[in-house]
Amino acid sequence: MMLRNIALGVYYPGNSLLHRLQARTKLLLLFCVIVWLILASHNLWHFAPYIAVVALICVSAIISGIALRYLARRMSILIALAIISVLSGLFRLPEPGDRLLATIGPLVTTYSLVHTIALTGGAALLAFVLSSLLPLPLLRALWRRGWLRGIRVLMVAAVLALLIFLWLTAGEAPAQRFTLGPLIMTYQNVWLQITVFVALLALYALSLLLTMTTTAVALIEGLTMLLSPLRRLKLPVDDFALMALIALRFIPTLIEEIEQLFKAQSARGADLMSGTIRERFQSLVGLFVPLMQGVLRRASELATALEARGYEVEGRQTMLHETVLRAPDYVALAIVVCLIVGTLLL
Amino acid sequence: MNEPVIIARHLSHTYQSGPLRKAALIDVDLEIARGSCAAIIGVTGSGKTTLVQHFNGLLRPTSGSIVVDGIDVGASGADLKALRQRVGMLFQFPEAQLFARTVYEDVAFGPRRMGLDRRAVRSRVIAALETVGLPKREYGSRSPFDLSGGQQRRIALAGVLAMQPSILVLDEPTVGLDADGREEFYSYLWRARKERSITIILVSHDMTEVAALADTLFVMHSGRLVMQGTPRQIFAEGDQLRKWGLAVPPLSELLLLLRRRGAAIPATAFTLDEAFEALQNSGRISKTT
Amino acid sequence: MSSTPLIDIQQISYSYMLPRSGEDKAQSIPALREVSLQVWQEEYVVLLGHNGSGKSTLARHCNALLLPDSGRVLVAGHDTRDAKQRRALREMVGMVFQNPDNQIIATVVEDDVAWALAVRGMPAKEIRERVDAALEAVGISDLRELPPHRLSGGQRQRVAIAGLLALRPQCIITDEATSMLDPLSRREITQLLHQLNREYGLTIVQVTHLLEEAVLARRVVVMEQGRVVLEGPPATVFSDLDLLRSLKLAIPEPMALAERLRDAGWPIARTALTIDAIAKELAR
Repeated sequence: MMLRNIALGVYYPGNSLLHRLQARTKLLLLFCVIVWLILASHNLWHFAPYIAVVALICVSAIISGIALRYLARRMSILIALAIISVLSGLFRLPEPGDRLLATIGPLVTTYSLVHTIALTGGAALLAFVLSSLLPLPLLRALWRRGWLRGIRVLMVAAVLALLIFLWLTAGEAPAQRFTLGPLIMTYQNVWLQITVFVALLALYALSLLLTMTTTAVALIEGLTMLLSPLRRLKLPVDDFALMALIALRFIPTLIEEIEQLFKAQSARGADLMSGTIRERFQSLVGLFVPLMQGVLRRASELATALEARGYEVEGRQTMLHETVLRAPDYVALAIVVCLIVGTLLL
Repeated sequence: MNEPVIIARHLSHTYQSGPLRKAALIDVDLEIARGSCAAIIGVTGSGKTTLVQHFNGLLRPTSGSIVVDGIDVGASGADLKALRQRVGMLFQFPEAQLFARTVYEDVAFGPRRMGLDRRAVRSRVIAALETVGLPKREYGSRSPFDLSGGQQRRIALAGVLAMQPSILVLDEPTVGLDADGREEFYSYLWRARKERSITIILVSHDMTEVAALADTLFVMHSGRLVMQGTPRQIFAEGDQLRKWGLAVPPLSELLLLLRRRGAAIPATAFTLDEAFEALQNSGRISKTT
Repeated sequence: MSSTPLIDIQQISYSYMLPRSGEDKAQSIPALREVSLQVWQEEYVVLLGHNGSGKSTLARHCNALLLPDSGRVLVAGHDTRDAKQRRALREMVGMVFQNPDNQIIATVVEDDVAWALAVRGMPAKEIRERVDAALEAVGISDLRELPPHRLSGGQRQRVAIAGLLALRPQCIITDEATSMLDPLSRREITQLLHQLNREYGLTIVQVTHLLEEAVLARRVVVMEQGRVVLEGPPATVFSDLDLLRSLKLAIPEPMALAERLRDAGWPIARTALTIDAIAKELAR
C-alpha cells in the first residue's frame, strides 16, 4: 500500500503555455541553456547571461503555475550541497595568470603540537563512539537521538582519518615545521564558483520544470524524434523508445507484485530485518527469484501478445503525443535564442 | 458449534498515506468458529482482503480489536511471529512465490524459519507433501518450476501446511484452474482440514464453490460486514447481493427466477437434490398472470 | 455465408518439446493429432475442453503463432506458413489472451488501443478515429485516460479487445480470456463478444473450459487429448452430459437439474441451456 503511492516523476497536469509546448521544444531549449551557460562562463564578470537565466526560470515557473516556493523546497538539498561545495572550492591553488583577491595566511606550528592534537582528539572521539556500546542507561538515552546515530559513521571515519594522518606523518621529527595553508582566493576562482553554483541550480530547476510540465510518454516520444537522425547510423532508436515505454507501463504493476510477494513470504516467516545473515539472505532470495520468474513470464507473454498484434522490428512509428511544432514552440525558441545571442554579445 | 477461534469487535482499519485516507474496514464484528469453513465474499474494494490480512497480523487494527487464536493482534507487543505460525496464508496465484531449487527446500522454508531442528523439519515436510498428494520420494528433489501449474499450487499449499497452522486463509485458491484442477485442489485441502483440524477461511469470487464448501458466509461491502449466515440463507437474497455487485450460484439464480414466476419452491431449497425434490413435489408450475 | 471458410484447418498435427533438466532426455508431447476444423465468416464458435486438451494450441495455429508439424492452416485462403502474409494475417485474426495484464503495453488506455496502429505508421488523424470507434464499441470511452493498473480485470480485457478492433479484424479469438476474471466480469465479456458478433459480423472463436460460456454459441467444438471429439450446435453437444463429465468438464447445476428433470419425464427442450431458457421451460 505504501509503495503504490510513490510519485512516478512529478507531472503536474495543467494547461499553461509550458504544458502546451512540444516535448522536443522543451528538450531543445534545455540543451540551448546548457550551451549558453558553458559559453557564458568564459566571459569573466559578465553577469548578464546568469541574470537572464534566473529570470527565465522565474518567468517559466510563473507561467506554468508552479509556485517558486515549491521549486525551492524540492531543491533544498541540492542548494545546501552546492553551498558546501562552493565554500570549500573557494580556496584552491592559483593558476598562472590569476589575480589574487585575498590570502589567509599560513598557519605554522610544529609536528609535535599537531600530533598531540590529533592523538587527544582521536582518542576522545573514539571513546565517545565506543560509549554507544556501553549498557549504561544515561549513555543509552543520549545515543537514542537519531542524529547522533547518523553522524556516528562520520565520527568513526574521522577517527580513521586521524589514525592514517598520524601513521603517514609518524616519521617527522617533533620540532619540524607543519604548515597549514595558505588559503588563497583568486578572482578567477570566485567567478568559477559563482558560475558553477548558478549553473547547477538553474539546470536542476529547469529540468524540474520540464518533468513537471511534460508527461513521461511525451518526453520519450520527443527524445525519439530528436534522436531520429541516429537511425541512419543503424542505432536502435525505436527499440529504445519501446523499452522505456514498457518500463514505464510496468513499474506500478511490478510494485504491486513485489508488495504481494513480500506479504506472501512474510506470512511464511521470511524476515529481512532479523535473523542470521544466512536466514536474511534466504528471505531476500525468496523475494528476488519469484520476482525474476514473474518478470520473465510477463515478458514472454507480452512478447507473444505483441507478436499477435503484428509488431515487427522495422519502420517508423506514429507519435501519439507529439504533434507538429506550432506558434508557441517557435516563439519560445526564438525568445531564448535572442536572449542567448543578446547576453553573450553584450 | 465450537468456540470461536477468531473474534473481531468494532474492527476498523484506515489506510493513511500522506494526505490520503481510506477507510478500508468500518466497524466489523464477527466470530469464526474453530474447525469451520468460513467464506468471505465481496467485490474488489469491499474490504475483504484488508480483513483477512488482520488474521495473521499483516495489518493491525486502527481501532477496535481482533483476537486470533487467543492472540490480540492490536495489542502492542503482540507476538506476531507466533501468530504467523498459527495462521497460514495462501495468496492468489501462490505458485508465483516458489523460489527454491527443489520442492523439498521450498516446503522446508517455513518450518526452518520457525527454528525447528533438521529432523522436525524433515518430518513436517514429508507429512505436508503427503497431504497434498506429491510424496517426497517422488517429487522432493525435483525443481518446482518443472511441475504443472496445479502441482505448483499444491506445493505452495504444502509449504504453508508444513508450518502446521491451526487456521488457513486462502485468497481465491482456484482462480485459473479448470474443473478438474479445482476438484483436485479442494480434495487435498479437505484432506488437510480433516487430518489436522484446521479452520479454513476462503476469500472467493466463485459462488458455486463457496456454496458447496462454506459453513458460514460473510458478505463485505464498502468496508462493512453487511450480511452473515449460512450459504443457504445468504444466497436466498439474490436481489440484495446483486445490489452489492455480487452474483449468486447459477442454481440459486434459477430457483429465484422460478419462484418469481410463481413456482412453489421453498426458499430453503438450495442444493441440486433439494431443487429436484421441490419441483417433483410441486408438479407443474402455473404462471401467475 | 461465403463458400470458403475464413479459417481452414486441414489435418494438422503438432507436438511440443518439454525441456528436461538432469538425465531425462527431452520429451515430445503431442498436443494436436490430425485435427481438421473450419470456421466460417460471422460464426460464433466455442472451442471447449479441459486444460491440456489442445484447444489453446489449436487456437494459436489460427494466427500463425504456432506452425503445424504436418498439415496446413489456411486463413482467408493464405497458408499460415507464408511469412510474407503474416502481418496481414494477424490483422485479420486478432487474439485476446488469458492474463489481462500482460497484453497491455502502453501507460494509458487510449495509447494501448492505438499502439498497433501507431506501429504501422498510420497517420494520427486516422488513428484517433479508429481508437474512438473501438473504445465506443467495447464501452470504455470514459476510461480512455486511465493507466492500466487502475482498471479491473474485465476492463483490461475490454482494452485488449478494443486494441484488436482498431485493426478492423475479421475474426477475434479469445484464449481463455475469462479464466482469471470473477463470474460477473466473465459474463460481461462473453456478452460483449456476442454483441460484436451480432452488430459487426465479427467471427468469434472462444476458447474456454466453461460450459456456461458455450451455450449461446452457434457451434461448439469439444476437444480431448488433441482431437476433436464432438462438434455441433450446443443443444446437440450438451445432450449427453455424462459424456462431457467423462471429458473432465464441469456441468453447471441448472443444466444438471434440467437433465435430471428430463430423465424424470419433464418435457424440457434440449435447446434450453441458459438459466432463463430453463426457467421458461419449467414454467410452461
